[in-house]
Amino acid sequence: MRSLLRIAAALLTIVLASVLVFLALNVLPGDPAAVMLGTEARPDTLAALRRQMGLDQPLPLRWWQWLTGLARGELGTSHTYGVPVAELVAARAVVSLPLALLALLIAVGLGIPAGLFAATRHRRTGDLATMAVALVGLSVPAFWIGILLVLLFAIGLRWLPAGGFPGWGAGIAPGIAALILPAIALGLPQAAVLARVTRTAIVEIMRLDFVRTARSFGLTRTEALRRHALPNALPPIVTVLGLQFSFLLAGAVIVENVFYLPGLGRLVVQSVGGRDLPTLACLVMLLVTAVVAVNLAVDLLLLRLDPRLRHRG
Amino acid sequence: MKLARLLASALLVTALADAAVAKDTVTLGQALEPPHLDPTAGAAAAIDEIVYANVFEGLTRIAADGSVQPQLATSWEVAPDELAWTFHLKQGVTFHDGTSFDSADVKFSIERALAEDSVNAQKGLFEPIAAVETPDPATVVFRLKRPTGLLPWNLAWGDAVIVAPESAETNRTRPVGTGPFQFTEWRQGDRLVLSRREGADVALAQVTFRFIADPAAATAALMAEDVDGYLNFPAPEALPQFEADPRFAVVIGTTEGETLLAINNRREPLDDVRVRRAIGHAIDRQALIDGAMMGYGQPIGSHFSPSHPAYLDLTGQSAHDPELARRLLAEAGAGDLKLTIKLPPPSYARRSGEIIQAQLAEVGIQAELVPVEWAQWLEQVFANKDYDLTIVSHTEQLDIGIYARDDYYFNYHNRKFQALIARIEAEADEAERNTLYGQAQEMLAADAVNAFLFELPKQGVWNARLEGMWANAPIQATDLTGVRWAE
Amino acid sequence: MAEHPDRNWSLWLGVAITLAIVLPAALSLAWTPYPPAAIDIKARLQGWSPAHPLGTDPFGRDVLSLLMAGARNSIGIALGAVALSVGIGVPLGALAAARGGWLDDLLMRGSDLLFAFPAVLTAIMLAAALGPSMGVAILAIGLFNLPVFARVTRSAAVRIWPRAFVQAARLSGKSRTRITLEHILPNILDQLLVQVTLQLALAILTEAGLGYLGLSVPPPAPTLGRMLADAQSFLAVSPRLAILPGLAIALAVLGLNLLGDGLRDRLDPRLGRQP
Repeated sequence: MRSLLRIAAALLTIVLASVLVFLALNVLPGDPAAVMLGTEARPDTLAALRRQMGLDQPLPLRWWQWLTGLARGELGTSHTYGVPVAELVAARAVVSLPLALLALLIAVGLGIPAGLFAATRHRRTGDLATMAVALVGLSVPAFWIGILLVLLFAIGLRWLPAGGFPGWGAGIAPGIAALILPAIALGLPQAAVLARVTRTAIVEIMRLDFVRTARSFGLTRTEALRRHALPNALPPIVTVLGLQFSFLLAGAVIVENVFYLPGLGRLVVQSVGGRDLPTLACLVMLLVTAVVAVNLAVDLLLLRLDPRLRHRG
Repeated sequence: MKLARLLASALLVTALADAAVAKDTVTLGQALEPPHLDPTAGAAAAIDEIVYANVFEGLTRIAADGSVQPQLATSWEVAPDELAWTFHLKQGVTFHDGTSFDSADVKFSIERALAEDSVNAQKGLFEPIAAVETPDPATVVFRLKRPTGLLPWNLAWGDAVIVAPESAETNRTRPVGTGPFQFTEWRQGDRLVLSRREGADVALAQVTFRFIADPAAATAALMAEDVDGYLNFPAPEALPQFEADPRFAVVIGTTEGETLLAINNRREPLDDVRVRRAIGHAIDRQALIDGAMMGYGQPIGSHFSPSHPAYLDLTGQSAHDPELARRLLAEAGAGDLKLTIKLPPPSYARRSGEIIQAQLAEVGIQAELVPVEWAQWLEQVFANKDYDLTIVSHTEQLDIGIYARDDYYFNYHNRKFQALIARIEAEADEAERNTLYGQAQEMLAADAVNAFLFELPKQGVWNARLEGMWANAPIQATDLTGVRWAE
Repeated sequence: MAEHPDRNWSLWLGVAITLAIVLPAALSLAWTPYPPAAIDIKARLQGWSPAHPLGTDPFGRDVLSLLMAGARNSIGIALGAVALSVGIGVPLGALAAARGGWLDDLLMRGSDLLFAFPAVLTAIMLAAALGPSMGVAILAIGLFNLPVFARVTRSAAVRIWPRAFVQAARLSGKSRTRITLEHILPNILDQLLVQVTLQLALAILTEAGLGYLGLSVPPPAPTLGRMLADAQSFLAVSPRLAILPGLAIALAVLGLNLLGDGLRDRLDPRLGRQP
């Protein structure tokens, strides 16, 4: 019942967001047709193009067409590129999604073990050193890390490309190679956050009565960690992971610009500059839906992980 | 044992074969990605920078030295009354899709550009044409409304390339022309690939354009040799670093980009020529070029490219003189002037804006900087003329005629100038035309229509072994037909 | 809390680092070595010197003055954004906790809706509509952080409401608003303060990102984010131009994070200092 409510609320959020998005986009100043034709365009040429793009129709009609189109899965045609938005977005998503996944992998793979390590060395040198590194990682802007990585690995050592994306058609390895540096830049600050959250959660649980009792019955520290602390530390970690997703998306916009990756984030910036409204509307909806969906997934996961939540109001 | 030797010799043969085949692919960086690939349906210079001369050809073309050369037309002549031009076409030419090129394609292309619903960004180029006649497949006759000496030059623009009726509608995404390179692949946001057409007489087999606008990313891409060069590198500040690196050739050339502090000539008190002259005298061009362009770029005193034979150096008329500027402002009763400067996105505009703001402040003009995107610039400044000052580079070749347009955003209305431009357009004799161009430059400088800043440099950076790249940019194009790798 | 200040090193280190950034920034309101926007092309790209202790930028502006003014603007934007989100988020969260029921649900759904728009996305659209400005940066960051404060306030307040002293106040006939002001807020102030320092740190980072994309304060007013972005293409010529603002951002964020950690330790000493 509680899950159903959550799902319904998420859907409602998305519908409300769609209204906001359409309204926001259509008050943007700047004529998309003028952008395409530039400074030498004559008024009659401009009018012809506006007709061709359907921009001469009244706003409510365009809104209705957009909404019904969305419902039918027709996302429209990009003003800038003249290709279907769906095609454009799909081509960019195959860059952005693997990037986000890779960054998440780095964040989880680095952050959680580091947090566990710090928790087991609680208040000792290992703990302090790990947490100091995490604090610094948390405090440095992701794009600054990106710039430093490029200087070192692409220009200095020439191990990895400085940016760009060869496309998956060129093979898996070159594709991954192109994504490694941006994923590190994106994932490191997240890893720092996760390390801190993990450490705090574990430390808190290890000192709870039931763990102490278990240990007094002869459970080793590692076993206590594995059997009791880790499962109970999961809810806060998962919650933070969900919250971090939104930062991951935002960070991607900037990091994709640093590494000139043809991803969704760069497409957002591009389509604003070019007043490519159909593309922009689709992108914003996609990103907003992704955030809502991830938060929903986290909520549902938490309900499973922590049975107590199911009964709480 | 035998097998090993066999293998070894096979490896040796492959290695030798590799060494024998000279490199014939090139990857070029380009700051801006084109919105689409049809040069006859958009103003974006990035379209021409990819397809001009490579994919699409016109009847005539602009060569590296800026001259007009035959392309799809082998020769042409003008009738004694100067109202009819006959062009003789190259024979045996086909489009990339196999359809043949003849006079019907020319008629189609020009009439399409002239049509009521045409979306050609340079419709004005074709405006003097009254009719296109095709007496035979190899001949085209243009009937004109009035003498137009510049017709062969007009037809060399990217907006005047010849397209086929079979493919005109799909050129935006799959361009089909008559050029030596044909379109292969476009991964939007990343790269575009052209490859050599079978039998074409060019050295390169494949050309990849990578779209990297960010100066830091562009620098990194060159340093890491992800790209072989930039015809025009977006960041002058990185050039010293490439000059110091023997891997690269840095070639500073000229463009057709007059960079202006454009002035709204109708808005008070800017309608007073003394105020406009004061703005001109307030600006220290050399400091501007040093600060915004790292010293690259040539000062200009009127709207004309220094690389053109008709160029006059008129910078002396608006030399840096803050004292004179203050006096002129006082005379005009504009002592306490507050203005806004709208700045489009390119870094030359943003940086120049910051420096000019400081220079204007020295003569008592308070300028507020308003950064805008191109969309807003086009709407607010260009279309609605809602601005005081703006900084922009006019990159079209030989575009002094824009000052003769009544509805142009400078709001400069001078009948004498308009008559002068009309005479220039009609004049077929080049020497006479250049004299008239000189008069036009002087008129603009005297009226201080805009504050003329500098000619944008063409900042070429490419692999030192790459030959045949254009040093100058008489037209916004990346003509790759003569580019090859040194042995 | 029997807390020895010397043991809470994180708090004091945080205070020291934060002050090291905030004091020069505050000083820039009254004095900088040079006017931050003063251009002197002839003196461009100079290194360290007595006249310009941190050198000059490509326009010949004094980097120390730019850093001071830039830090002031970046901190100002962060403060503005956090003030906005606290000013709206805390009352909404307190209201949701005090009323419960459908109003609680409605407010929390609303905050979900806001939270679904990442700050960068909002800033890009706002800047496209209104032009980039300090207000746009504050609004975008503030709107995105608002739900954080609404949620923190609500969840903290919900835990206080069932307490005996609150129930006693309720029985004595005090209104919910009065109880919220007199009993609830004072008891969750510490937690909010921790959140304020952490969100300030985050806001400075976000501003740097917005500045990098050109969506923050327009020139000539400097911000740390834009200084970093502008310096990026000068990395080879003058790495100092990029290192200094990057360092300033990192220090400001680090200081605030340490401060937040220290405050949290004070609140919940178990975490920090048990054997």
